Amino acid sequence: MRLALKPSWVWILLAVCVLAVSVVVVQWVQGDTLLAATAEPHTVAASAPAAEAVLDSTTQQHTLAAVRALAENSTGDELPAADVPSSDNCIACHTNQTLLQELAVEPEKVESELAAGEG
Amino acid sequence: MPPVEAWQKVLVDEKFLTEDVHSQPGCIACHGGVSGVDDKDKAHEGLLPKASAQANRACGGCHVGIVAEARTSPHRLQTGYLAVMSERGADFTMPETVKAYTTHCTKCHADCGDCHISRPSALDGGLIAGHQVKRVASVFVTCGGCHSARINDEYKGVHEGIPGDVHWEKAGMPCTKCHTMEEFHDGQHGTRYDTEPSVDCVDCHQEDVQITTDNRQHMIHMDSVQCQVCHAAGEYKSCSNCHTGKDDKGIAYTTTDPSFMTFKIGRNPIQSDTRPWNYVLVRHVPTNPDLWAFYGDNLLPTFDNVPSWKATTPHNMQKITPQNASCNSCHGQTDLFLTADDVDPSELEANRSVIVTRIPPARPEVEP
Repeated sequence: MRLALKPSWVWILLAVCVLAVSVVVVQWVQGDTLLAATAEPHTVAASAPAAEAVLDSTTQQHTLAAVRALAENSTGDELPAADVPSSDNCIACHTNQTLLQELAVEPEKVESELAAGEG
Repeated sequence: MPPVEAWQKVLVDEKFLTEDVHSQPGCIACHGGVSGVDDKDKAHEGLLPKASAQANRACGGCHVGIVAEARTSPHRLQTGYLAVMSERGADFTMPETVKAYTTHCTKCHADCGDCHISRPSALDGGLIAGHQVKRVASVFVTCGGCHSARINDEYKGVHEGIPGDVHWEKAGMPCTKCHTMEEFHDGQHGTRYDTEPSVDCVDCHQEDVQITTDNRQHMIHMDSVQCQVCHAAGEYKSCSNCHTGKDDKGIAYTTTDPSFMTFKIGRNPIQSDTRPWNYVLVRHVPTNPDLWAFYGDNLLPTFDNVPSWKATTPHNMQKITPQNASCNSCHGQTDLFLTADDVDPSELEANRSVIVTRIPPARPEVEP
């Protein structure tokens, strides 16, 4: 009863505190979710317990290390840009068979004269 | 494979734009390039033709699990090569080894788009279905484009005088009937023989190999002879003597001797509970101790650890074959077995585990 009789500034202060706590909690939850989403590909690729069980010899562990190194170095990790410009010019050309027949050229194949055999 | 014109390789089908969800982000989201310009060269500035080379960026946003797993799959990283080369002593911390490997041995590597959108790079690329993204874009272009001479040609009976595989000729089974998505995407195992067989003949032919079967030959040979030894329809392709290097213009090149047809039964070098047989078919693979000699000395110091006549599973299966016509179509037939005389003297040590030293003797003929 006494609390209800407090001046209005006490209620305002209480409301601000509740709001601040809510904002902190929401941000924490969102941040955790994003972190999990971006980390998942690395986590899955790097752990794979079944593969560890198979690769038990020194040589195979060496191979696994090489595989991991190549995997880490050869994949772009950027996420798609949120704001992508229009692709209208790409579509206009790449759906126009006549235009493509005029413009498309096979990239020059660079092949050594010393190459021989299949594969 | 028939050649494809340059324009056909880049013509986008309206269906892709109207029906395929993968078109929604817009071309530039995956491929880069410049918006709003009509000039070809300017529009292509910063272009990434093979968007899935950056798999996380292009595909991983939605296909999180598969992309993560496939990052280390045999198709993407050619883990089979890495495993075998490691056993042959390749040290992938040495710059010379990495240079040799990445210059010559990773050409066939496949990213997502190589199987689901385009013809493989080995066929000079190009869209298969106007950029539509397919679970299986085209079995014989996608799979056969890379696994051509040693699988596709056997399966379809391209080799003169040797029938194709009964699973294709009679049943019309595409590769994906036996080989599953998990097999293509699974990551981090070495060669395909380092894990249990992903597909086994007995998965379908269980009744034929039961203990109670009427087939006496199956009863006798089931655990001692790989199915293909009796049921491969004939010879299959072997290759040899691969060398790598760069010419005086700095262009990388590979040389191999002309391929040759072989049918050789060897001892099983990968015997296990799931591959218990004493005998398997073997074929020579394009390798030799000097494979990377251009890049450095002795880069494969333990070459002899792995046979150059490798256990193999030819894809030309038939019920009746020349070698299973009777007992003595195989027993006592020295020519069918890999003996020391078939092996190059410099590779004898590497092939000790597969060379057959005692040919199964001829037997009194019995009813099959």
